Amino acid sequence: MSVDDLTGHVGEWLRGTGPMSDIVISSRIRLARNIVGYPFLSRASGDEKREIYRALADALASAGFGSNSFFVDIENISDVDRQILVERHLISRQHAEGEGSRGVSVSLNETHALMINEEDHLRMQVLKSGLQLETLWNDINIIDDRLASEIEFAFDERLGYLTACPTNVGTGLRVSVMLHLPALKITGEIEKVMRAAKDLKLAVRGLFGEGTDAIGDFYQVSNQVTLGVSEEEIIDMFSGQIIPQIVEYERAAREALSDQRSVQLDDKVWRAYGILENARAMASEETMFFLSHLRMGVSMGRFNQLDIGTINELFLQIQPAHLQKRNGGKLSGEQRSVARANYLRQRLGHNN
Amino acid sequence: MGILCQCCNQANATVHLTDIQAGGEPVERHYCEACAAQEGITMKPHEPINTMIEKFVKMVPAMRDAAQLTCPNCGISFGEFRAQGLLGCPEDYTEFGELLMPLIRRAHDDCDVHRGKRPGQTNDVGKLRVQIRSLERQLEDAIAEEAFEDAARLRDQLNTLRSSYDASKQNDASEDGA
Ligand SMILES: [Zn+2]
Ligand SMILES: [Zn+2]
Repeated sequence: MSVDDLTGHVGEWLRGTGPMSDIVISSRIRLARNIVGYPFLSRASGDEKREIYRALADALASAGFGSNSFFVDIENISDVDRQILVERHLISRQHAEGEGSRGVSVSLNETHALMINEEDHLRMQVLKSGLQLETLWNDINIIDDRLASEIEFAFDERLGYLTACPTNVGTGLRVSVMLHLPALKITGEIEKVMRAAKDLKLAVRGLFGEGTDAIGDFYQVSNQVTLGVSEEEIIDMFSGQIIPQIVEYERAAREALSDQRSVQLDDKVWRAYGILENARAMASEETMFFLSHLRMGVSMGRFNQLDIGTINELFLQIQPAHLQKRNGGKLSGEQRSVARANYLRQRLGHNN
Repeated sequence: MGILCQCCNQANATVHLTDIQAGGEPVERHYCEACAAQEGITMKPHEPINTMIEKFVKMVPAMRDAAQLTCPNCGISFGEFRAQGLLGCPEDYTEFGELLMPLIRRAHDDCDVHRGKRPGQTNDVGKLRVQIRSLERQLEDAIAEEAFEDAARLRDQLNTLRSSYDASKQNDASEDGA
């Protein structure tokens, strides 16, 4: 199993199957850990990074993360392969662009990715499609326990898990939920949601790939406070209140659009489809923009020729590294636009 | 088509952010790739804490004088932490404790006590690593200061610790194999 084997399909988190998957693309939980006896990475020498890498890779192996996972030595793979992992949300951009010994252990279905030597010695993340935070917490809690019996993590009785950046200290836990909110964007109510999120000390940001209109209507909501609250409290807040509330707003906005502006709504959806299935060159931003409208049409039941899983997959496959991997070599920006349009035409079922 | 970069007003904006500022309104920001990198949006994820630290330092005079304070374990100074937003080692939380706590409270909604899970098990190998590291550092200092008697004593201590470190690693390994 290698990076090459990933690109033909999608990870579990993009399948569009979990609860509320019409609006919630994916849920993710990340835990930051550092091992005792070593400096944090900004002060670690090349040798120390190698030792940390080896210690954690050994711990992963003896904790049994070899059988249904594969390990990638990030330092020694190509730029395109690193980018593939970023586009699949298996490693962070920071991890891809880092220096020295670093790696990631990825489960075969891509539901967990354990990064070694990112900002902290170990950043474990689990991700699934739809709103599934309780399941994810259960999974990552077990992973954490299994590793903690192999290797000692830096922990302080008062401050909890010690992290390189004090903004992660305590639980080291970051919950991130990726939402597709096109109707709130169209009705202009997205601002209200942002304000409400701010009052709850949450970070909301648009997502972007290579020059993507973040506002491809994808928003990521995450907690910022990691100290003084338990993991379960953070997760309850997300799955019990915050996310259902935002989903409800989006559904109400969608209903209002169907009731009052149904022609304009269908026009947006069908125009998007018309362009995606016919264009000969598609830049990344405009593709995201039109795919977002098409996704809205599909999830609202106004467009039945495609399913959500397929659209989610298109969002991934049109990213630069995935295009280049399929092409088998590097492509200029212009060549990518052509390859992207060709791919879309082929996937949308026409050979015109 | 598209929006111009708000920074240079020339290139097309390709990086779009909607940030909720602490105590402020949601702000949409649009940058070209180059300006985004320069502004630290795409490359440096620690801008917010740096800004927070700088603001804080201006408010608390004691912190201005603390830049020289250095962690004996990893050698980072509080000034360096301020500049990069990242600590040098876990001991820094103790070494810079007084200076860090106000920052930590600020980042965590006035909280300063962990209420989440704790590691179930600990092992001695990790603790030995910490002691060895700290002795190695003292030894380097002693040699640099030409305090050779101290250096000799430290070297003896180090050798003892290293052999028990090797022994406990081997123990662990044989337990795994069993
Ligand atoms: Zn610019
Ligand atoms: Zn230190």
